Amino acid sequence: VPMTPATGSAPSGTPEAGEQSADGAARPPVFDRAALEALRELLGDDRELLTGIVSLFVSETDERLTAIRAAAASDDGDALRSAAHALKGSAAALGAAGLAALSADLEQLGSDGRTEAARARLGELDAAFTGAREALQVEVAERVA
Amino acid sequence: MRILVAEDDAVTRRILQVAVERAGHECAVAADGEQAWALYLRLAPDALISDWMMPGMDGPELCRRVRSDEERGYCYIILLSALTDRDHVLAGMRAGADDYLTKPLQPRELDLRLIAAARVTELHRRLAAQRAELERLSAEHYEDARSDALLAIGNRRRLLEDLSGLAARTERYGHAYCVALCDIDNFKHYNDAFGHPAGDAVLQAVARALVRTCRRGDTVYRYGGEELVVVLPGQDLASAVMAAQRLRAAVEALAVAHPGNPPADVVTVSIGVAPVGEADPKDPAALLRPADAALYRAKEGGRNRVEVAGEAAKHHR
Repeated sequence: VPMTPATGSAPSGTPEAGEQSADGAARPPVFDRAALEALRELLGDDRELLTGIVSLFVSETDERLTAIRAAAASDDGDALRSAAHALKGSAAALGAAGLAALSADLEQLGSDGRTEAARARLGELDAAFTGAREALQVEVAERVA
Repeated sequence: MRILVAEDDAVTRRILQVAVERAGHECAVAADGEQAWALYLRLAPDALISDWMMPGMDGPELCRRVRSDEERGYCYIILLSALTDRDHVLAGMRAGADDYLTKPLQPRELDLRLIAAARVTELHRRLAAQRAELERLSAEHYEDARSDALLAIGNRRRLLEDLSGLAARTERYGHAYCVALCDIDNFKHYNDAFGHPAGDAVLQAVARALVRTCRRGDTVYRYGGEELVVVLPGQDLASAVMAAQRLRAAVEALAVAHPGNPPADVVTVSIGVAPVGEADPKDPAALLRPADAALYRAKEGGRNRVEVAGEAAKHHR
């Protein structure tokens, strides 16, 4: 099965065959607007707070991506699992569903010690992060406007 | 409530902190299990919201530690887990969590959990207060049931309990101890002449004199009526007799006028001293029988004297 980058604008609700994850579950959309709306409600629609959390997410994710790349390169399954797990949590919290799903896959690959398979998806991961960051920055900017 | 959040992911931690504070609670945050445990010990939070997977001490271990702590009040534990980790939730509840929250956090969900948490912690607080009150009352009742209200010393029940304990120790370690059974001479005459309130005052004065005169480690009890018992642990019969003589002299030295008690004409006591040996655990009062027999001889011999159990009518005046 050829891997299709999840950062592409996958239409939500109708996943294609190429967008099945390893366990056969449907890929969620790149960006889960409902999750972000839930977060807005949770934060009380506080623009500064949301902006702060998005920058926290961006800096944390930078570190996590570095850790994931290092773990994959050094065949350290445990470190890969732990870094991917952490990324999964924060990505899901901000509605970055594509990034969260990809992190979940990497977490599983780390658990299974399949670091080589993980290395093959690093490009996909970078793209997913870039997509999530841009989408979030647009969201935050929209609120400012 | 005071709430502690333990979450290693900075983004989730920040979101939780904001949500907890927006719900009107105080929030402390920890980035791992060890830090959370240290904060728990220091802050004694009402509730703990803990991630399942953390580096070092994980969520379930933190749960178990909090549950094993008996010094602080009840801490309501909410476990955080990803929606997909249902097995974790079950294991977490078994480790002592009260509830769980799935990530990503949904609005209202946290508020709902915290309403339950406030109710449960309040119940536990009330239970703890009631238990403390019960313990206090029970201790008070225990004390009341074992002391003499007039003389403020142990009563017959405490005496018999203590004698049983001493008898057991005697058997085990071979400690010697004696009892001195003291009876105020012609006390009925005193009451008849001066009235019961005056008689009570004499009882109090005599009890005080005995307490003052006996050694540290000796204990004075009211056995009943005008009979008082001094338990003298770790004394052989010879030193117990000397102690009893001091007690007798101390009462006589009070010099409380008692015309109905010739020839002294002051308040005096007769004392029967006996070593105490093995006891029938069901009948500790039997331990006092030799002392009672000696006391009887002291009365027969003219009162205001000390008699020793098992000896012929050899007066210790």
